[in-house]
Amino acid sequence: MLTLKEISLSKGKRTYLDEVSFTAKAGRITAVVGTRSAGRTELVRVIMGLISPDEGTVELEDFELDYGDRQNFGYLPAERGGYPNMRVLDQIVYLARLHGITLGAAERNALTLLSRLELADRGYAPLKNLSGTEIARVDIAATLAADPDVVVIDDAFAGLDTQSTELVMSLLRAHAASGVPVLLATDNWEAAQAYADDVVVLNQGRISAAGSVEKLRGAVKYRVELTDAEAAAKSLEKRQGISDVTVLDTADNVLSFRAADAKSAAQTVAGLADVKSFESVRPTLAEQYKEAL
Amino acid sequence: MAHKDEDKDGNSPEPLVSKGTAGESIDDLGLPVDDDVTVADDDASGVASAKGTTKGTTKGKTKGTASKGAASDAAATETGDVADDDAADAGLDEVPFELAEDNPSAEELPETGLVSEFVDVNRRQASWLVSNRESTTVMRSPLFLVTGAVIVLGILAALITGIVSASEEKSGTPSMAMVGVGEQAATYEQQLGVKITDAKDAQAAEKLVREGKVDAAFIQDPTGQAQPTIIALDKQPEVLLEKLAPKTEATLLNSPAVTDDIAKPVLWAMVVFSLLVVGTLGTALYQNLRLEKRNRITEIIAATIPPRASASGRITGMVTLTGVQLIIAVVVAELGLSITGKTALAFSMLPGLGWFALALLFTAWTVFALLVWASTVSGSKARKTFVTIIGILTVAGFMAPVIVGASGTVAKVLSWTPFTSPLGIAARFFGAPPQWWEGLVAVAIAALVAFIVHSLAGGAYVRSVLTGGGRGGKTVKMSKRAQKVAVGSAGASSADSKSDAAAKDSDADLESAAADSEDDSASASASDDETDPARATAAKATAEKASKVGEPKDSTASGSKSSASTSADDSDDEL
Repeated sequence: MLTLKEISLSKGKRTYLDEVSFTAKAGRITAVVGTRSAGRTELVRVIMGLISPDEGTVELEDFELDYGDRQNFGYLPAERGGYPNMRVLDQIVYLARLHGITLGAAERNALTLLSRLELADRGYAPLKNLSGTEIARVDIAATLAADPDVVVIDDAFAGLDTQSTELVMSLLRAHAASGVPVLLATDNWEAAQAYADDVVVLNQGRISAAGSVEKLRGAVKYRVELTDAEAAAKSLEKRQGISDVTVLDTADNVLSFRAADAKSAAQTVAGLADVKSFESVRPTLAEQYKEAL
Repeated sequence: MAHKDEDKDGNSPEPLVSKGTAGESIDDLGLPVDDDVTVADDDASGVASAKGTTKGTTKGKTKGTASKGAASDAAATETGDVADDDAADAGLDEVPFELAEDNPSAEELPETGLVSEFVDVNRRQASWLVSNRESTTVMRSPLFLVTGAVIVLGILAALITGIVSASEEKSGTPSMAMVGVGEQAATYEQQLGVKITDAKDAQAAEKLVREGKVDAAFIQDPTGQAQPTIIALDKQPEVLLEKLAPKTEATLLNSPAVTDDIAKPVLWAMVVFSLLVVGTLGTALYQNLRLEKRNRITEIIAATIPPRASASGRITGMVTLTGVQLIIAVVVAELGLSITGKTALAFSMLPGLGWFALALLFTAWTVFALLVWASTVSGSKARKTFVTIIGILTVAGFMAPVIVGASGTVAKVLSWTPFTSPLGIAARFFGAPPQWWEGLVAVAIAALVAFIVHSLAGGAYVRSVLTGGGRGGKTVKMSKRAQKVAVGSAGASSADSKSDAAAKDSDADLESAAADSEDDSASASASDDETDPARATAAKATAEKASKVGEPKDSTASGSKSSASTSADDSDDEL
C-alpha cells in the first residue's frame, strides 16, 4: 500500500501540487488522470523521490520513504526512451540489475517478459531497430524485470497500440495481483477507465475526485425518446417518492431518468406512451470529469 | 520496507525460484520448442497447453493482499498443478532424483513468472554496474575500435619507418656566449652570423647556457694549450655548430635520456595519442549523458541508485578504458623498440612513458569529470561554451609542453600543471631526467585535481538530476538509510507507538470516510480492506469532518479543493 499524505509542491507563485492525499492499494491498479498541467508528472516524481515536496510524506506500508528507500520501485518516466544502440536484452538486464537483482534472475526475467510481450525474437536486436510500439513494450519489460515492489509509470499508455496495450496491461494486472501497488499516470481517460481499478482525478495540482472506477463513473441513466417528453416527465415526477425513478432532464423529446435497476426502468418505460426508443447510458469517466475540468 | 514477498508478519518465504531452476514453460522463456520434443499423448498435450497459459498468472500467490479474480484463477491453478505433477512424474525417469527435487512446486512459483533473487547493491557496486555498461558500450562502438587500431598501427608504423630519425631544426639566429670578447663581440657576430653574448668567465657562460639564454657557450682553455670547447645544455646546437669551422661537437651539460631528434617526434605522437584517447572517450561519455537526459534514463537510474554513484560510474568506466589503451600503447611501443633492436632506447624511454601514463590517466579523469559537469548545465549555449573550454584546455594543455621544450623554468612548471603535466613530465624525463619525485609530484597534483573536479561534478550531477529538470521542487536531501535506522532505533519506543497510533488513526479516517458513503457498499471491490469497527468508532469525529469536506460538489466548480485525505478506493469526492 503506497500512501501519499498531503503532498504540496510549489515553486515561486506556481503551485504544482496542493495537499494531495491518496492511497494506491496493493493488488490494484491505480490511475492518476488529469488534463495538461494537472501535476501528474510532478506527483510521480515526488513519489519516486526525484523531487522533494514542500510538505507531505510518501509512505509504503506505513513506512515513511526517504531517498534510497525506493530501490525496488519500478519506474518509467514520461517522454522516455532507451539506449538506441544497446541490445534489448542487455538494456533490460542492465536496468534490472541496478535494483539489486542477480544477473541470472535478471536475464531470466528479461526473457520471460520479452516472451510475454511478444518480443522474444527481438532480444538481441539493438533498440533502434524496433518499432515505436515495440520500444514502448521494452520499456515496460525493463520496468518490471526486477520484480518491483511498487510500479509507477508516467504517461502509461504512450506509444502503445491497442494490441500492445492489452499485452502490457495483462502483465501489469498480473503484477498487481501479486500484491504490488501499480500506479499509472495518464491523460488517457478511456484507457484509465478500461484498465484501472481505482482512479484519482487530478486537476491543477488538486484531487478533484478519487475512488474506484465503478464508483466514479456514476450510476446508469436511462434515455427514452418519445413524442412528448415534457408530459412524460411530469407524470413520472408525480410518482416520485412512490417509485424509485428520478427524472434527470428532458431535451429534444428525450427524457433522461435514473432507476434502481434495469427492470424498474423497463417497467417505467412500459407505462409511457409513444415511446420511440429506449436505451441505458452509463457516463464514462471522461464524460464525468474531463469535460468539466 | 516490507517486501511484497513477505507475509503479514514480515517473514520472507523460501526463495521462490532458485537460479537455474526454470519453473516456466519453454514458451515463457522465449525459446522455440525444439523439434526433438515430442508429446506422449493427447492428455499430455492438453495439460502442457494449460500449463503454459495459466501458470504465470495464477500460481505462487504468497502475498498478504488478495488479488482480483481469485476464484476464477483457482480453477486454472488446479489445472496448472496437474500439469506440473504430470510433468514432474514424466521427468523422474530421466532426471536424477536430486535434480528433480530442485524443481519448484507450483505453489512456490511467483504470480508474475518473475524471479526475485536480490543482493544488496551498495554505492560502489552501483557505480561499477554503470561503469561496466559505459565501458562495454564504448568498447563495442566502431569509433573506439578504429581509434584503438589507429593508435597501435601508428606506433608500429613509426617504429618500422624510422620516423624517429627526423629532427626538427630550430629557426632563427643561434646564440652563443663567449668569455672576455668585449667589444669584439660585434665582429664575431658579423663573421659567424651568430648572436654573441659576452660572459665574464667560464662559470658565467655556463650559467647562461643552463638558464637557456644562449644555445651554447664557447670556452677557451685558460692555459691556451688545449682546444676550446663548446658546451650546450642537453642537445647539440646543430645550426650553431654548422656555422663554426671546423664543425665540432658540443659537450652537453645534461645528457638527455632520449636524444632530441627522437624525443620530439615521440612526444608529438604522444600528443596525438592523448587527444585521440581523451577525445574519443570524452565524446562518447558526453553524448551518452545527453542521450540519457533526453530519454529520461537518468531519472530511472536516479530513482534506483544514488546519482553520485551513477556519475562516478560513468567517469570511472571511461578512466578504465583510458587505462586499457595506455597499457596497450606503452606495451606495444616498448616491445616494438625491443624487437627492432632498440632495447637501450626502450629502457631510457620507460620512466618518461610511465609518468606520462599515470599523469594522463588522472588528467583524463579530470576531463571526463568536467564533461559530466558540462552535461548538467542547462541551456545549450552555456553547455557548448563549457565543452569548448574543456576542449581548448585539453588540446592546449597537451601541446604546450612539446612546443615549449623540456628545459627551463616554464617546462618545469608545465610538468606539474594540470592538463600539461602528462606531456610536460614525459618531455622532461626524455630530456635531462629530473629527480624521480618530480614525476610523483606531477601525478599527485593531477590526481588531486581529478579528485576535486570529480567531487564537484558529482555534486552538479546530483543537483541536476534531483531538481526534476527545473520544473519545480527542491533538491532532495540525500540521507542514508543507515542514519534513518539509527535515529529510528534511538527513539523507537516513543516514536513507534506514536506512528502506529497515527497510522491507525489515519487508516481509520480513510476507512470510516468510506463507511459514511452509502454508495460505497455497492461498488466496493473484493479486495477492499475490512473496516475495523473499533477503529472506525474511534475516528468517528474525524470521519464526520471528512465526509463533510468530501460531499459531492457542483460539476462546474473545477477549482474546488479536496483537502480531505482520500483513499483512491474509498473517497466519494466528486467535482
